[in-house]
Amino acid sequence: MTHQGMIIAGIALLAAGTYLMRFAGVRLGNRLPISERTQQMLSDAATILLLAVAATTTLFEGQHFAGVARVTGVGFALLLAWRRAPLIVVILGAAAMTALLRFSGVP
Amino acid sequence: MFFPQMQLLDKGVIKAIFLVCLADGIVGLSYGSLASADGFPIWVPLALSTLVLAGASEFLFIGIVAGGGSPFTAAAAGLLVNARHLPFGIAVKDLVGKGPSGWFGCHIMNDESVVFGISQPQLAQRRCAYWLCGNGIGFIWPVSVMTGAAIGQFIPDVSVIGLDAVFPAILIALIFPALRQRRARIPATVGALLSLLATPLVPAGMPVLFSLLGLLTWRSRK
Repeated sequence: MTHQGMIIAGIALLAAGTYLMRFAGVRLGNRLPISERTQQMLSDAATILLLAVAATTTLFEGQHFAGVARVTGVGFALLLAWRRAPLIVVILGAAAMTALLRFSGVP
Repeated sequence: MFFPQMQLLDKGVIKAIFLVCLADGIVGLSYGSLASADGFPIWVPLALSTLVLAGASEFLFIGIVAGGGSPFTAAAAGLLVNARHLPFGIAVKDLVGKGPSGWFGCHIMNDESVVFGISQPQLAQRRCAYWLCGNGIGFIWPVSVMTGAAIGQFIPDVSVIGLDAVFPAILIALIFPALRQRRARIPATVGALLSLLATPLVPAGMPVLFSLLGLLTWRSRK
């Protein structure tokens, strides 16, 4: 197989596999018993995953520490969210704080 | 559902979805120009951004292949990063829709569309937010990646404007109300700690899956 052929096959594998996981999750969800307890647990499972995504992407870039600027920026966003600031303020606040710290030389 | 009824949504939510799509667009520009700087022909980022539509796994794929790795290794690494879409699919099963539009509804599933979807109060609003964010990113991502790949030389540095902090910030802001309840807060905190501990030790994608162990501490309560 040529290198170009292998890249095409690799992309096809990644695309098909990713779609299958999205689709399989939805199909599986439709087959599970729909007690209120299960519903609550499944919705909390998504919250758990999303917090884990947020925590790991805040603190790590690959397998290394992401730097003080990003962590402080997200921490500022957390404070804004806790004070019930509008979403736009949270988004812009995180970006502005991180950019400002980097501009001042914080890694 | 392809054209969600935006009037159902809070104005602040629509603006936030717009900003998140804009941020994704800037990341896409940067990714497209990096892919072309790495010597990839334009159809590689085009195929990845339309058919995979999951940023982190695309970066990984491009990075591994550019570093001389096998495209199959790269695909396997990308699939591991995307494995969280399976539990996401279970959680948003009522938001993606039925039949042919549901098949497309599955494709636009990502961290952002899921978080905007599950954080709305009513089912109609949840569907609408999921589709608006999913369609927005599904459109802007390939377009910006292509634009970046076409421009090539110009590589916007997303860290200068603090964009890397925007994505975790929006996730946290949107799940914050759910975290105010003990029922979700305890397992989510345990899960996040487990995934942080695992990050330096295991391949990308697995730490986030470890967070589901936090469900062991889940109890049905108010």
